[in-house]
Amino acid sequence: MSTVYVPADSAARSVGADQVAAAIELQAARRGCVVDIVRNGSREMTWLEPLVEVACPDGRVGYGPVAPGDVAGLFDAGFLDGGDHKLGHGRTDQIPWLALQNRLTFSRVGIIDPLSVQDYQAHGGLIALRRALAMTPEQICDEVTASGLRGRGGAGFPVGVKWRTVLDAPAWPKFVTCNADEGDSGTFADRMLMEGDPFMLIEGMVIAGLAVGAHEGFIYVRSEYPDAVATMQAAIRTAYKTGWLGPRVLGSDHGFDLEIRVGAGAYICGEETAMLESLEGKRGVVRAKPPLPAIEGLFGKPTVVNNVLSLASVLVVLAHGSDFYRDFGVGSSRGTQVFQLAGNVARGGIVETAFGITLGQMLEQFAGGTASGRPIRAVQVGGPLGAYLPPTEFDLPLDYEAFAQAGAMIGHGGVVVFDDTVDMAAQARSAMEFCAAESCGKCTPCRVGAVRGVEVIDRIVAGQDAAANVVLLQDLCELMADGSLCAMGGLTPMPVRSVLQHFPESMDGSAARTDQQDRTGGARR
Amino acid sequence: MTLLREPDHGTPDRTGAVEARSVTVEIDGTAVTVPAGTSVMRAAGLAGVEIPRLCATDSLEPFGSCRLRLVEIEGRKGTRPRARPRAARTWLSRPARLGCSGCAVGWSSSTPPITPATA
Repeated sequence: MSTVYVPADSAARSVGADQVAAAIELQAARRGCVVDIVRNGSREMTWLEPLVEVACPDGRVGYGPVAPGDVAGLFDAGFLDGGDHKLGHGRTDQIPWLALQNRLTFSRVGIIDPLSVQDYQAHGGLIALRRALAMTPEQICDEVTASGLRGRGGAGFPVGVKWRTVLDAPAWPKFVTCNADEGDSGTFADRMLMEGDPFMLIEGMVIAGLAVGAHEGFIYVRSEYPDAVATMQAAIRTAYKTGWLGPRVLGSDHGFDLEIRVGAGAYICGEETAMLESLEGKRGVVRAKPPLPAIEGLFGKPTVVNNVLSLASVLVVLAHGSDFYRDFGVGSSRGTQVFQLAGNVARGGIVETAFGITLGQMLEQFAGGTASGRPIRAVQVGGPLGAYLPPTEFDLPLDYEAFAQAGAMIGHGGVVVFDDTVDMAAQARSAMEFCAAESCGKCTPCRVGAVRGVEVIDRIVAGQDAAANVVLLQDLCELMADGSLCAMGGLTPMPVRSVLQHFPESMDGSAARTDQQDRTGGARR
Repeated sequence: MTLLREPDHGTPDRTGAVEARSVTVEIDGTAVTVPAGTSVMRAAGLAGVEIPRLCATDSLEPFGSCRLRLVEIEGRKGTRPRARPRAARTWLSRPARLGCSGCAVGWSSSTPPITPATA
């Protein structure tokens, strides 16, 4: 019997993985082959999806991108024994794109059957939790602090320090929440991890509970991720059955209950305090800080709020030790970051690599240039509120401090590429427009500033007193950045300022003059 | 007609709060002693410095929405000196420095959190 892997990840399904799986089943039945089809997570090479893999004696051999019509040909080529085919890539783990990465948090995703308890344990699952159960809460917090792990949601706050604050808070009960409201454009790592390795997140939540003395956790998933929600819910049911969750976790005296909460499509609910409001059943409105969620969070109680990737990284820290994790990375950015390549790229997907690789290396080695074949004009790193960087900035090393100094941010690790046809003024406008649409409306700089920002940029683009309006826009950006209550309004100026700084020619009103020339047949000449 | 003046200092009185400590701060040259946990806005009001606001009153916990006045804290984000009327020019003498519970400092995901009020 042959084992064939066809991803059930929603990125693979969106390009026909379900149809490919059905075609393989049909062909196998016709040819009298016995095939065991495993619906795994994605190997995160989205440019090869649907990637069909076959288990061969010396490793898994990959074929992709496979269309349902290719399946008969694959059978003819003997793909069940790793036979050559024009879609073949040889051993999947030897594809340079994968081999060059440091897969720590994504070590199991795509390899295992996401909901198989046996697979999870056979690939290093529960090692971290077993170790944590033998430690005191203080020891867990210290170990995580020593690893240098910083929050992967975007803010980059040290995870161990946050946990320690919750542990030391006197109030009871305490809560652990996971922010899986992955709303940034061009990001999909949280989703792929939840769909491809859900037990990892569950284990991370239980460990966070042990570390801070919490017995209840919530995972807040955005409603746009129905497959991730379904996978997580199935995994949680299984975890209760196998005793990984419930009153006695792995037979210990520690109890932990876990629930999924689904958002309702608001970007702002990815902001931690708005997420807590939403978890409480209220409208997603940002809270003033202090008090910090670690002191007064969910229902006014001390609460851990961590991103999916932060919790997953904790497992690596505990399973391999803080020294192992800290040895990756540079400066105060330790460990690995899960970058997500998207937009106009030849090879999109997830690149998990140690901090310190330059943006240019990332684009060259992994992205392989643009999908359109045209030169890159701009790269937006860190989601819709991240800076646009031109090719002259491609020497920037991917680490928190280097990016902050350059007026940019790593954020959640989204990298979106644009070719030379992009209209940078329109990109700047879209940042303000996005903020106007997604602002919770609580604070004035964000609520009013975003609307005014759109208007000012429209005037600049129309060539109305462009120079004076650029000064006004700079002033507005400063006010929003310094005065907004949360990062939504506070970071909206970042992409706008980066356009003004790196692409000033797109914001000097010359576009309007050129349009006029075109209309008047080049009258100015 | 007699006008009954009822001064409003922007945030609730913290007298009798869990921490009975009091702190003395100097605001624009005037020293004022207030219970720990008192907002900068209230302390300033008690010292006779009226700070304009729209979203704060004695009967409400700090809400932080109007952003009419912000407090800059040395060593934190937003400490660049700015000759701008919208920034509160209220400097606290060290080490007696209150956390700002009246109006949170402009928050950015790139800054570490501000330790809760108590000097």
